[in-house]
Amino acid sequence: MHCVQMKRGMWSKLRNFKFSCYIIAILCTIPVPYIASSGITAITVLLLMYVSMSVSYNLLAGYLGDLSFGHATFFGIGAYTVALLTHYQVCYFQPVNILFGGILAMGFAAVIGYPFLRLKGLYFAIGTLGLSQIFRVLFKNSDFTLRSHGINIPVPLPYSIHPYYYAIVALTFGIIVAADRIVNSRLGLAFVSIRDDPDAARMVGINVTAYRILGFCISALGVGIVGGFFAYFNSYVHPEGVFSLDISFEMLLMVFFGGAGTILGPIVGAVIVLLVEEIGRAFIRQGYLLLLSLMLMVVFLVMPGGVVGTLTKQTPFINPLAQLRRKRVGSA
Amino acid sequence: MSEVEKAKITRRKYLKYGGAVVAVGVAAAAGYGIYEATKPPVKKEIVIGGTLPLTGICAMDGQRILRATELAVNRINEEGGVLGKKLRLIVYDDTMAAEKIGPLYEKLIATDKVDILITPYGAPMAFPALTVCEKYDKIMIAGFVASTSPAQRFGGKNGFFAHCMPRPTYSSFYYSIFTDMLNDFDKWNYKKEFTLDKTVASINENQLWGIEQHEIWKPMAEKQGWNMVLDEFVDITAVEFSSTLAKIKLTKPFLILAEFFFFRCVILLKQMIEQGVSAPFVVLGEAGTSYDWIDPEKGVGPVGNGIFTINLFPKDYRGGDSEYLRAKYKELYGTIPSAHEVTGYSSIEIIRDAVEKAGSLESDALRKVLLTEEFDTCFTRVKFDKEGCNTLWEPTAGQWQNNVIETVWPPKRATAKPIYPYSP
Amino acid sequence: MAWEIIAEVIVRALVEGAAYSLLAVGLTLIFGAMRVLNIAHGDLAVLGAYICYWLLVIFHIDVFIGLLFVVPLMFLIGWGVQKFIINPAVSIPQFQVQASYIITYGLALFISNQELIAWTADYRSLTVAYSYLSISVLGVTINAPRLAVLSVTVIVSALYMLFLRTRLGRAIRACTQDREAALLMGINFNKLAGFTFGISAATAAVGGMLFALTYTLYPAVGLQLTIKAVTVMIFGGIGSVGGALAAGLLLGITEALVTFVVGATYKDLVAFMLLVIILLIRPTGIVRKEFFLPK
Repeated sequence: MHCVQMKRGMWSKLRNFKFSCYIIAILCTIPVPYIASSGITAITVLLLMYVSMSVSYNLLAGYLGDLSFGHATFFGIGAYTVALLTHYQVCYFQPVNILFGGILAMGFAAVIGYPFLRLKGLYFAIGTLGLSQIFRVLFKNSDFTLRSHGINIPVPLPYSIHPYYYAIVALTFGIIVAADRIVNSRLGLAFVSIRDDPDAARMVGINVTAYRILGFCISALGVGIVGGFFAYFNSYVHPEGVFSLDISFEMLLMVFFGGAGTILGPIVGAVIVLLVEEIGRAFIRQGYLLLLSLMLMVVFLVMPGGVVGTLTKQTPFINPLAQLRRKRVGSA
Repeated sequence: MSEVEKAKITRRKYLKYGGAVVAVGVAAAAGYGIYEATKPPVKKEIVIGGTLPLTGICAMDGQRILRATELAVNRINEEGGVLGKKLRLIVYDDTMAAEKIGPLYEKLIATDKVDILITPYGAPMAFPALTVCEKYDKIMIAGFVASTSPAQRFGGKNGFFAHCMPRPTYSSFYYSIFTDMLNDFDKWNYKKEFTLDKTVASINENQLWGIEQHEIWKPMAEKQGWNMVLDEFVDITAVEFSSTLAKIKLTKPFLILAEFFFFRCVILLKQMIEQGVSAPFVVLGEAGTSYDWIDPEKGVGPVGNGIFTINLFPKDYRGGDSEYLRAKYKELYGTIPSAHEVTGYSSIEIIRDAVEKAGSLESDALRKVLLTEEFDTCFTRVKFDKEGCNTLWEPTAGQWQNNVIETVWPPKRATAKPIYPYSP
Repeated sequence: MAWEIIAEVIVRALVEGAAYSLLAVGLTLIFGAMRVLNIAHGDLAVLGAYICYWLLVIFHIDVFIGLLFVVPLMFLIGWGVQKFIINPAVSIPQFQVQASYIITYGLALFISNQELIAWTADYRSLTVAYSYLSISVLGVTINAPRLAVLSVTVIVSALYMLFLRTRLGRAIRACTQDREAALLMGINFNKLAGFTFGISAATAAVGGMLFALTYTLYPAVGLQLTIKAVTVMIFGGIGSVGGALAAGLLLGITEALVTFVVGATYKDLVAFMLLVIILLIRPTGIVRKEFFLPK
């Protein structure tokens, strides 16, 4: 009796704690446009975009274990949906367009999900890379998407960064909460079991392919929505800019640097990588990429589970010098 | 483990999570705070800002523009500045990543308190930057942005002024200047047995400037009687042109018109020579943007002589600070400046003249001055029309002869006769 | 007349494919044996090319003779990278995949930015004395450098085939096929890993030099070369050297023919469409080999 009461109390206390963490985080982000200049706020918008993209990508790469090198495909689909809807004067209502962008991205993921998710590991990664480049070339050559001219989206003046900022704050927190919920549910458990041992998962009765397609679609939805937001924030969509390798690789970097397979990992990774880039860019004109690459290599050598993964003791620190002496080169 | 201990352990884990979140947030806030506290631009300076690709794909061009821009700013500061204030230049490296341009420009305007902006490299990067300028009502002077579509939306009274952006209504432009030159063939043809054959093979890059100029040029040329025997677009990642060159061999045009980035012109010429593809007139549009062209270590070497190219910085042009630019650049960097440097320097000249004539940094005053006054820069004389395009630029056709670019057309600007037909 | 022109196109496509094949060969060796995708492969290739460029410009040593110096140097650099950077990172098995991506991506960024500092951003050409010498072979005119590229590729592939028949080569092939069995057979993988990486880096340098000779050289081209090499590698089958060669040539020819018929703007589309189709139909590549990808 006593234990059951303790248990109920413990869970509700935990849920309250996490809830209060979220509340504190939201409260921290709300006053930013008022205390910082709108330039810094714009950088924060960029940061939050990357945070939400990384959290979505983490669902696929961290929890499901399928790395993709071409997630910018969905970013581009989301952005282009918004741009084309605005350009062809179909719909001007922003939330609807953004949501439709995300839904189209998810739809496309569902369509190509079945053939692609039979692939594993590097095959899947390169397949998605090929997909993003195919989209890039197709969109550059199609008159429907205005080829290389790019699509301009008119900006409502007078301008204030507040609506954009609060929209991305809402989106980011929505995606984080959704990801958290998914991860802590049976779905998340299924994902993790597929990542760790697909055969055992199959034996337990989990339909591995179906769950992988589902994970793929959910991550595509998140990235597509952010793409749609990007179209409005940037007011210009160009195939080279939205289907670029840079975006795909930055998502990958941020997730794994921060710690794949954790909720906080992609957030911390995005924040650290972006802050180092932006602060480096401001103070060191040209050497900041060297700094970034050194940081990536050194930190990742010592903390292969990512920053959050290692700091929360899910994976150990490794001492690279000890590794040199131990001479192990991975296992089969 | 008892329930109580388990609760403590899991609470500790969540405290760590929460602590991490708060720590990151505090660090970020501290970083921003320190940044804003240590970089307030002194209002005794006029701040000019922009982003350029200093690393990544177009690093060469971005670095050259930066060199010349810094040269201009240093010179103006040595001479006492503008309106008694010194100029300060803030340039960020944007690595040609289009998604970061918007926030970077907002940071430049709102945090670094930039007064006047310069464009990034190329129109696809300029569009987001121009949107930000429009949002904040700032003026932007173009560097190396030569497409006309930004001007249609953002130009003139909307704050964008591009002096290296020729308009077909005012003059020849990058594509049309050679067809215009050949339209006048009988006037300057000194080989009487040679006849004009209006067939052209056009190879372009599939990027915004390329397709835009092509769309303007093609109907014009066809109306003038040109027969487009080949009309190819090449992706910007391409390095192998053998199939396109094979098609040129089959169609045997009189004029080959290829408008590529500089290094692709280098590759194209080498492959043309190898495959034995030639035409009486070979135009490689950007072969004149850098004096590396006839350098065997960086370009094609002496075989590049005989190629026609657009001459963006004629060697006899004396307007503005061009003499100073040539001398100082040679002293500092050992080479002759060419197109990218010149556009960088001239944008600063325009800024200086506009601010001095307007007497203030207010956008409205600057706009009025920019729309009405005439400027003299090291690149060209400038008079903006209401869309911010330059009505006074006279592009010239050039040809590489004896390792120098000679102007060959129009006749009143010509420094040498054109050498034709082309033979490598 | 027309078939001569098509023959010219095909020959050049073969040369282009050959340059990419050579890059893919090194990559496939590492990935097969060590399960590490070396994203810095293209940048190592460019580094080798830049060193050849220096030898050419400062000491006027011909690029192919310069290779005699560059190849051992890049072998040492590759060996060092493996021992000091990659080895510690892939030590924990469950992070092997992400470690290989992140560390090599960081390495790629590092190398390309160091190149930017050392050699500036200007585009470099490897212009040798015979750069514009044309040779006519069976009615097809071909550049001397391109002929050299083709010959070097043939020679290097032959060397590879021979190497894979030696004891060391067989050990590497064994590790590619089934590492557990190889370990059980007594193959000491630690010594093998550094050597494999060294060979891969050396091959990359040769491939990079050939690319720079045929086209151009600038610091940012490394990542593009890596992407191309990975495409060819997957197309040909991971772990298969012959497959990488065949795939490179096949891709080159297909791209050339398609761009000849349809238009040059779809060139990338061809390569990636083929890649996606092969992945969907036959992921193990065009060469008939089973490849066991654990996980």
